[in-house]
Amino acid sequence: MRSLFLFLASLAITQSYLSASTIEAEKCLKKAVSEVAQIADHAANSGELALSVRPVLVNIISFEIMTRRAVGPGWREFTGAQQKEATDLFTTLIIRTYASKFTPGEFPEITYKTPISPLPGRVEISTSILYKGSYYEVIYRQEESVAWRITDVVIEGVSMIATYRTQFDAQFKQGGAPAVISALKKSVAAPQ
Amino acid sequence: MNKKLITLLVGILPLTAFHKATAAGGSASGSDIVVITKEGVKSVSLEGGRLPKNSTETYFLKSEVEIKGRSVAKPIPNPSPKTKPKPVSSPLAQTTSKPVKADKVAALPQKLQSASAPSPRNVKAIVKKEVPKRQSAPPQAPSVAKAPQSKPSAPQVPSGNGTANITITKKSPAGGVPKDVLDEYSQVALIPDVIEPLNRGFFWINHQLYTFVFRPVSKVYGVLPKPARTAVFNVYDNVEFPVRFVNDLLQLKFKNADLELRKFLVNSVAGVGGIMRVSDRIPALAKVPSADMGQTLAKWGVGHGCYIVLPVLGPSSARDTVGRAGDYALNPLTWVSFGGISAGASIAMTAPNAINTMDARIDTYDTVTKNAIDPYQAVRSGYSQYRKKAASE
Repeated sequence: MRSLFLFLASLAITQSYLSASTIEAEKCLKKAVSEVAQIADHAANSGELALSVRPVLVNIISFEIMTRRAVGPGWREFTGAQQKEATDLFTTLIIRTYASKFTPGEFPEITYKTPISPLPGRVEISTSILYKGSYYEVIYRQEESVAWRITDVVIEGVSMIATYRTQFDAQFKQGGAPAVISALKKSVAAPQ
Repeated sequence: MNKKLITLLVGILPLTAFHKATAAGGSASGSDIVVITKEGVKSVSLEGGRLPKNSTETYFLKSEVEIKGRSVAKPIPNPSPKTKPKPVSSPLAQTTSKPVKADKVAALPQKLQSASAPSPRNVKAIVKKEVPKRQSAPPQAPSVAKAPQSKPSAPQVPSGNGTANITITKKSPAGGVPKDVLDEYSQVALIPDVIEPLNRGFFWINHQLYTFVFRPVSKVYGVLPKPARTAVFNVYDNVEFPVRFVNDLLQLKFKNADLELRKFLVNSVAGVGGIMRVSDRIPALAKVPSADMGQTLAKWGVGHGCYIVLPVLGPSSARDTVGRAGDYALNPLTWVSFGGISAGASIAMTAPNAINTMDARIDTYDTVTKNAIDPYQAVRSGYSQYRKKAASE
């Protein structure tokens, strides 16, 4: 009887913790998406949007986690300076990709589905976005570090980080960290 | 006390043995199987290479039971600090491919150890399943694609029934997240690219077509007012109803087939031949998942085959190319084209749809390739993930 009570109590505590986590994560995401959509609505072009949206995205996306997961286990072979350089370059690429998806004047209609917590400290929020007459399924993966941060965006089943991981793998095999950084620099320098 | 120890050891060791045997590609003979009874260890006679039917006994490998017997007879003293612990393959190590040291296993909390060790009931299930499988397996190890160096904890395994078409990776039990968090995204399935040089050639040609032909044509077409473009899209989408409807039926998705039918009727009647998509205003019909023959083949267990970049059409796989042909056959526009009309009339009928969808295709292409490190790999990865999701719906 006592063990049953303890079991139920622990279940309730876990459940309430998970609920609180997912609510908090969802709140952060909604606020961020709303801010970005408003900025996007006033931006003249994607280049300007990339610049104006950067300060907002830096606070809601963990670019460091994104970069190290995109590179994979090879990340351990990067020096501190190389890690920082790769993160900065990758941040630029991600923001540019994100900004290019917005068209000024078009406001997305977002429907949030019930968040799930696949692991402690992680939340996945599925959304259905109606944008320019088409529906898109977008999943935001978030992790709790200092606060809830987005660590991946999955659009119609295509994970942003997984796509970069495939590309970085080939670069890393060719020439290690310098090859990855060089490829990032080349991509960032490419005209838009 | 001894009985408990025997149960624990017996629970751990056979699994370790099977893990090693599988890794070595070896096969176990029927005479190696034993059963533990109150009277002692008894050999099991296999009937036609199979374990007795309807048996509730727990079966073990003979060699492992003998090892266990010796261990029980001579209790192992606590290892001194100078003694080098012998590495043992633990059930915990199955997810990582790294051997776990015996002292580390011992250092684990007792609850965790007992949770990790399979119970005799579980082992029974494993033995029953594994023995006939390995006896029927060919003697040589299956051809397994070599995992890239940067993915040490993600061994690649071929898919079932000998058709190793899609590279899949072992999932760890912890919600799909491997022990090494940096290696989390090694689990992404990629379609094998056995004709990469040829594919890269077609990718380059398609890139030139996109840049110098499709993009300008799309821009010119873009001067048409948006409602007109939307109407063209809606009409073609409505006409292609049989493709989605038949594939829903072939996938036994009767609910979706029903929704597709309703959507077609609503748009054809209330939407004036599909010019207006009235179904979008009905919540149940607004987001009916689209079905195609590639998905159907996937549902039927057909693997991707190799990755193929089709000229003009773009990324595909062997399976999806066959599927595309099937969809083409189901498209009413194809029936009309083959119904005796002139080539000019056929082109005039299909061209608006091709041009109309070009803009969306270019947009998707740009999103994937514009900020890519290697655009070819980015498209391949994106396509693999997208089709994986489509097949799982």
